[in-house]
Amino acid sequence: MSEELDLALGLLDHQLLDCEGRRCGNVDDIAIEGGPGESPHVAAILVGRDVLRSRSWVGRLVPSFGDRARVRVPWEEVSDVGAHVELKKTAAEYGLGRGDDRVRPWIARLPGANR
Amino acid sequence: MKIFQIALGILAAIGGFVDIGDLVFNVAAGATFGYQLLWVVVIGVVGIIVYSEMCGRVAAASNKAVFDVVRERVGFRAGLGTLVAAQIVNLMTLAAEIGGIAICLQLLSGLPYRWLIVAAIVALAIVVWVTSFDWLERIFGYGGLCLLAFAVAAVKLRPDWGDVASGYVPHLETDDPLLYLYFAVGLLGAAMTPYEVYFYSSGAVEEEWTPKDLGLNRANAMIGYGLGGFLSFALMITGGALFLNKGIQPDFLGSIALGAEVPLGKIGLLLALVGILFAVGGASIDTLLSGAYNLAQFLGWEWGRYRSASGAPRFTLTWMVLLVLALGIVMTGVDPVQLTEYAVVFSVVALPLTYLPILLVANDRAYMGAHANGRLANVLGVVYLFVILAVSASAIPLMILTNVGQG
Repeated sequence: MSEELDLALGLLDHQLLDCEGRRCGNVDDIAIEGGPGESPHVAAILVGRDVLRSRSWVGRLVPSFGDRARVRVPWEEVSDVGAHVELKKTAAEYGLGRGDDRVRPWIARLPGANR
Repeated sequence: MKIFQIALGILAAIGGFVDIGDLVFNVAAGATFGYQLLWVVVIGVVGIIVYSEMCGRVAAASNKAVFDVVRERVGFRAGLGTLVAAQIVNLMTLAAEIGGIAICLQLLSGLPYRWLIVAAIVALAIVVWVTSFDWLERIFGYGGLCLLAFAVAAVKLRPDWGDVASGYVPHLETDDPLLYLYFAVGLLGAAMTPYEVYFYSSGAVEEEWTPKDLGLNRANAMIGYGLGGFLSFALMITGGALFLNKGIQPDFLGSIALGAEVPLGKIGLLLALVGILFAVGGASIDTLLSGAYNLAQFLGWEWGRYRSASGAPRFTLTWMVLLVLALGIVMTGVDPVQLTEYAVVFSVVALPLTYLPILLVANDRAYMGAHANGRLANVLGVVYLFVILAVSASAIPLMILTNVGQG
């Protein structure tokens, strides 16, 4: 990741994939740290309903099926930023994709759901 | 094997292009203005080919579907506006297509309409649940080919081919220019309905296209939508040859099928009804899955029929909920043909915010690399963006001024 990265176009709002290729949310916001006089750096990516809510009032309308409201993934956990943003571990280890996990048992009860 | 893969284009064409909106607008345009509006269909077909090819290419090069791209490019807020508009139009279209299925089944069986709505919904749920993505494409794509009966009908009705040919030349020669423009907007809207690109791009991701499939993408877009355009011509010519100057407005799906019955008899009627059934059935599946694709992509959920149902749980739940909502809408007894007209006109309004992000991303060399837009795609893309903006700005005023095409 030595190339220049446009945070607004190349990172924000992009799809997150975990190490198994599972889609587990979007980059809903970016935490940048560094006070006046220091050089700012990306500290983490932020994911979840509360993050969206802080970006605009309409965020309140976003449905959630039990996602943890805010997940902070340290920047060190990002393995690649290309078309998608890839993470080093599984979604579960970061607490991502919990909405899908919450709905899964209901869907899985239906015949043929696991094909 | 490659030949089978053209099926995505054919499903997109039959289920997406020739859906209830095209059936209604093409035959009605023929009945009202004869062959005069054929040129508008050409513009619409080229437009949908340009943008489908573009978003198929984006999907093949970057694995992103339309609503991934919308959110990345226009941001969360404007993207959410686009999403809401898209979902409303999608749901209206879905309800209209389901109504269309029920009407076809009623004409074929004579059973009560409301029972057939429920039967249609149950059948759709089962088909989407058990059928893999590529079989969905094949069944509905190839079943819809029965619509070719309209091409035979158009020829058998012996239209004045000189008049037909002059219909391909853009012109405005009418006592009622507002109604003419309303039909032009409707035909463009029906040809370039946004759910076609939602479905096409998500389908490309479902089929796990890579840059190796770019030739396939181009062939799919051109053959599929080209075929759709050909069927639209046939429908309009049939409508013109049969209904023009006879004071008949085919505002019922059954009268559209009549277009094939008059010249071809019972067999023509049967083929037309079966063709319409598969076309609106395919379109129901396109719109149903598009609604789920859009929401999942925008919110970053796992999605796709290439996952198991429990592998993409919220995606699965979403299409189930959409199906129930559509059931509620159709059961109110709303006329599917009228609902279609509104859906097509409103979808035109949502077009620019769908197509602009695609154009931007298709130019982004950061992940398109060597597959970014060439000059031809960009010139056409920009020209069509202006066409879409003009159409989008005039759609609602025209609908009001012409009293939804009633003159």
